[in-house]
Amino acid sequence: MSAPLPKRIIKETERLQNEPVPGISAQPHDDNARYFDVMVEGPGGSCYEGGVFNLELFLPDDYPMCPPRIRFLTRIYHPNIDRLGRICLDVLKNNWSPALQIRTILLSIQALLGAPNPEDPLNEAVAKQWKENQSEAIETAREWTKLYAQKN
Amino acid sequence: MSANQPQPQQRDVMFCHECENEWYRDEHGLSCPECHSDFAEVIEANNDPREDSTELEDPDPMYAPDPDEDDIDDLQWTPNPPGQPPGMRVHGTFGRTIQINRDQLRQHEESGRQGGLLGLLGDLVQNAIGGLRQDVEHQAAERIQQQREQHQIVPGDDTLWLDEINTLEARSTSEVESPPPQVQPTGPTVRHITGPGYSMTIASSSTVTGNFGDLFPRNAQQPQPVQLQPTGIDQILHQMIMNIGAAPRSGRPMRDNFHDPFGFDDLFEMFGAAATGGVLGDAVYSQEALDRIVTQLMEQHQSGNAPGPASADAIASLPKRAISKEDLDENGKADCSICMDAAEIGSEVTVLPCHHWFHFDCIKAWLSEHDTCPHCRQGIMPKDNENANQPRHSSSSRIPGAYPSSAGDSVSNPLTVPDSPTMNRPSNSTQGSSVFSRMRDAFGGSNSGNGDTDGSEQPRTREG
Repeated sequence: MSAPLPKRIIKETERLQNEPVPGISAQPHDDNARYFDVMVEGPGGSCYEGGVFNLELFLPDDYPMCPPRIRFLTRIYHPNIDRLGRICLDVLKNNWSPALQIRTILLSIQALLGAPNPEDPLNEAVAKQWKENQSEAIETAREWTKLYAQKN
Repeated sequence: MSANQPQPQQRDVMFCHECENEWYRDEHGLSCPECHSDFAEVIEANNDPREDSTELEDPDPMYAPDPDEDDIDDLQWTPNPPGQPPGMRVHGTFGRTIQINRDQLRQHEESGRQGGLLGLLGDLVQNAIGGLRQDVEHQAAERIQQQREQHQIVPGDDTLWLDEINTLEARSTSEVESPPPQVQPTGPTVRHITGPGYSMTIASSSTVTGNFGDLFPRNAQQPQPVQLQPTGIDQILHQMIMNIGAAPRSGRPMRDNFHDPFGFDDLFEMFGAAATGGVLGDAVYSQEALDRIVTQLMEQHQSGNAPGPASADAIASLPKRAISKEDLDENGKADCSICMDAAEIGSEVTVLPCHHWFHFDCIKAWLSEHDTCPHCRQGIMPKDNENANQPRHSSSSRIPGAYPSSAGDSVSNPLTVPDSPTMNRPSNSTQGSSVFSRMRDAFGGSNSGNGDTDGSEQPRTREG
């Protein structure tokens, strides 16, 4: 491992295990404590409800001075998440703060699923559909959730 | 070969029974141009006088009888033995007569490139046989005969050199005028060309009349003039690739087949398109390469419009104080929210103008990159009309849109930050940061006591 593991990462990991957030789990890899397998459940009442989304999360060497890198591994139809699973979320970019944590970021992402923002899109095609025919877009998101985001 | 075989450019091919020579009837007539024998006949589909006509049996029009290709058989393809990279080894010897008239070449250059690829290959031939384009002073003799060229090509993984050689030959033969007189055979010239994924050795022995360009006869027994390598073959080939402008199939697993010798893709890959991941110059040829660039831009933009750093002086002059009992939360703990280490009672912490406190080293590391409080985003740098090197004091904190500062509002203010408690906390500075801290409240922050979350909170997406 390149950089020694800061105490903060150990503490965050412990807290994620000991006091898990409902609907969210983050499990570090045995051979790389900075790399997490993340699972986020689609928020209830949203078109992602019932879906279980896998993400990968990596804590760079200068974490927490820079944000974790997170990406959806499960395909998802969302205006702020692109084809490669990259997420358009301010706290992952400009509005990162070292007072934020893995758990707060994952909660932000879960909240983003509940509140898609087609006005600030990362995925233009989805955002266009979302703006022009929202009910159809939501239906597509539901279908994708059934198709790709089921357990197992 | 059957009579209904489609054949491009139907030309009568003659066969000499004396010397087994073959030639085009429309070029040299009915008599053998080699031995001048009249014992010759037209090779026809149903009447092939040659003993070995298997080649003509091939239904592929690519292998139509062509006197210029008769030594293609000399090419030997040997698969690489186990243990070596997959691929083929090509070895061949060609007998070619190339005669190039220097004045014609000049004309050719002045009249512009001849048809992209062929024109460039013309350059390639020129370079390969001795740097014709260098205007070296020389004597009257301006003819070169290159009699034997040996190509030995050892591709790294994938091979597509037959094409190259064929085209080279096509070009070479087009330059042939007539057998030149008085030539002197010389030893071989060996050139090595290597690059990502390939290596090539061209051994050519030339017969030269006159002192031509920088090509000199080589004689191992005698001192030799400096032999300049042909310049710019790699650039020419690169330009050739760019000229064709086709997309290399990068990301495709390397194959060990050789049944597609007339495509160009493998050639592209050999010339570095694969090594650079589908990026040639400013052009992007694959979705993967584009994604990589977008990711890179996103990461570079990460802190694009985030506030810049605070000055070292301003950071150094931030006030400090000791942690007291009142800083502890309901669990009797107080953590620095950057390192998440406990701050014991009596230990020294650094206080920001917004009254949030942190370990000095922790907040210094952050402020040196971004002049924002990790909790409320208020900066420590003074505004223009204040002393530039002094941290802003809470009393002078007047940011447009700020809530009025009032002492003791931390109890009633729903926007409090549960971790990193402050004794006397002024309000948050801007509308945006209030959303931010509400979010953190909702998400529990680093305060272990605050576990309930509010999923209805709207996170903000960032631009782009």
